[in-house]
Order: sequence, then C-alpha cells, then structure tokens
Amino acid sequence: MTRAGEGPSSPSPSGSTAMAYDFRVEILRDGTRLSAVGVTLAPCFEDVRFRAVLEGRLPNDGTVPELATEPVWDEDGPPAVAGVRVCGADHGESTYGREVFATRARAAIVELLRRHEISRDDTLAWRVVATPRTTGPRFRTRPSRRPYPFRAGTVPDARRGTLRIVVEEELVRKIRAAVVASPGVECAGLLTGQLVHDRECEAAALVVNDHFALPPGPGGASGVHWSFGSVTFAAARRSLEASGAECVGWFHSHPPCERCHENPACRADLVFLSRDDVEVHTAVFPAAYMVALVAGKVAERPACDPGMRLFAWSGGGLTDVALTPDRGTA
Amino acid sequence: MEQAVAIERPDLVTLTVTDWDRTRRAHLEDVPSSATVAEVLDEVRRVMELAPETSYQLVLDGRQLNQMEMLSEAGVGSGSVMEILPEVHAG
Repeated sequence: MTRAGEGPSSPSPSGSTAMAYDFRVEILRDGTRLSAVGVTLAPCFEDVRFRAVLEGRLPNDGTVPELATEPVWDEDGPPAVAGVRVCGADHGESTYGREVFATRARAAIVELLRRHEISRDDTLAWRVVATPRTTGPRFRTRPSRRPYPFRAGTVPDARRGTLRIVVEEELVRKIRAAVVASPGVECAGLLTGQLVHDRECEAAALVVNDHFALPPGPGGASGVHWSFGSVTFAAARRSLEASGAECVGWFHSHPPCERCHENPACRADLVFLSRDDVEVHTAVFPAAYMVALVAGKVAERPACDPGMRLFAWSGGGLTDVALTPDRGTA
Repeated sequence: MEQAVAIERPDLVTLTVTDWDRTRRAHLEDVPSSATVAEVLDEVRRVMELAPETSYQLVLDGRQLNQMEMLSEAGVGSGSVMEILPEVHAG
C-alpha cells in the first residue's frame, strides 16, 4: 500500500527540474543506520523526457522542461519511500519503484565492506528516504540541452515509446579484436551510430555501428580499472567533431586473469557492469538511448575469445539487454 | 530622445558551463565574481541533475580550476565558457 507525497513540488525558478525533496539510500543493520548516501533522480527524469519526445508530447528543441517529483511513501509512512513519481505539465507522469536505487544501495554496501564496517555475515536492509529540500538555487540559472540526434526513418513492428537497439556484427568483430590486442589491461572507447526516429510508430531504433578507442586519463589503466580524465574527454570530442559521428555510448573490457589463459575450460565470467561502470555510465553517458558494451572473459568462451554484454537504460535503471547483432532487441 | 543604456556591473558575471560533449548546458547570470568556483560547481551540479556521489571539476581552457578560489582569482570573467568533467574510472 503506498500513498502519494503531500508536499507540493514547486517549479524551480531556474526552469530546471523541480526537486522539492532530496532522496537518500540508507543502509541499516538491526534497524541502526550505518550509512546514508544521496541519490540522483536524473535517469528517471531522462526516461520521462525521452519517451515524451519519442511520443510527440514534447518538442525535440533542446528545452529542458520543468518536472516535479513526488515521493510515493512506503506503507510505514514518511520518510521511507516505496518509489518516486515524476511528472510534468504536458508530458505525462511516471512512477519508479525503489528498485531504481538498488545499484546505489549495493555500492553503499560494498563501500561499507571495503571500510570493514560490516562483515559478510551481517544481515543488512536498505531503504530510500525523502526529505524536503532546504536549499534553493543560489544563482539565476537556466539549463538547456542539445536536441536528441534523431534521424527520420522507420522502425518496423516497433511498439510505441520503445527503443530498439541494433549492434552491427562488424562492430562486434572490431571490438573483439581490440580486446584481444589488450590482453592484460582494460581498453575503452566511444560507440558511435545513429538514432532513428519513427514518427508514425512513435518509437526509435539505435544502430550502433562504429567505435573510437580513447586514451585513459592521468589515472591510467590496468587489468582492473580504466580512468577517465580531461585528456580522454578532449580526445573523444576531437574524434566526434572530426568524423561527424554521433556518440551513442561506450565500451570497455574486463580482461581475463592469467589463470583463465592457462585453463581454456575456465568458467569464470568477468563481463558485468561494476558499480564504477555504473557511475561512469550515469555521469558520462546519461542520455536515455546511450548504451554500455562490456567485453571480456565469459563463462561459455575461452579467455582468448572474448564475449560481450550490452547494457542500456530502461525505466530509470540500467539493464542487461540481449546482444543480437543485426537483428536488434526491443 | 532617450536611449536605453545597458549597464554592466563588473562585479557580476555571466557564465556558461557545458558537459564533456556539449550536450547539456547551464547558463548562469548575475553571478558575483566573489563567488567561489565550488559555489558555481554546486549550482551547476544541481541544475544539470548530476549524481551526488560523483566528483566533478570545472575546467576553463583546459585548466582545472581550484574550487577554493573566487571566480575573479581563478580568471573566470563574464562570458566564460567552462566544462564540467566527472572524475570517474571504469572498473
């Protein structure tokens, strides 16, 4: 049983997304709060905006519409929430369950483990709480954004409001070769392609068909990390400007360990989106159509033959989508 | 005949901050030049809806700005266009 928040979400004077509440994830042990971390609702706002543009309820002109948030209180009442409702005047509303915060909760638990503040035997719970925001804008600020890079086209048999993702097979081969060429160190780069908008079906298709390798930042790269830095972003921009290509996401590798190479029958599976990867995707590739491709050792292949998984935004969270080259997935 | 005259106050600056690929922008008006880089960063984070758990830096002409400095000290004048870049790494 849930009930909507009572506090009004007044439009921000800056014209940006109105947020009358701050949301936090709390980690609890025996009812005692161990940590509290702030969470962003940006992926939910982006989900609402993108679908509104897809379905023609919002012009694709770069304006950032005012959106309001309203906590959906947990059955125990405030401050715990069961979800959050995001709504705007002309572009509908969507309700997101607290599962959209699960990744952040997992990251907070991993951080507690890293700091040895909990043990693996502890039984933990997590909840999301909303508290009225006490601070307002400090300066007169106006946000804007580039329109979504739609190309007019058709998306056969598409359901209204959906994004179909197609990864071209040749690109999969190229990235596999790049990963094999960097056996012990992570490699990373941009994915490029086209975003096709079918106005009649009010749906879109993302065609991912090329890539650029990128240089790591000052933090370098190793078998377990790849740092972004200003040199990375500058190189990315130069590549995009020189080619005229559209950035549609990123890829990186999770190299196998040495033992994987020595044992072709190894069943280790290292292809997943880590909490650091989720942070990268949220910060650098926040648009609703942007994807993350992770390549590396998968259970069903030997270390010398990397597998891949594709992750995409869906309903305010990141989900693993089937990688079906040349056919795509709805 | 009267003419309207725009008076520009030298202690207030107008700024633009973009993300790494120029997709998102924040336009800030009438910002005191005595404001710190950190205050501008906080405001841009809010208006761009950036994740609270991620660290960001403001960069002007390839130079990372010291968050403790006032805009005037950091060489940020009216009309400046800065970048906001996340400090992240893939795992």
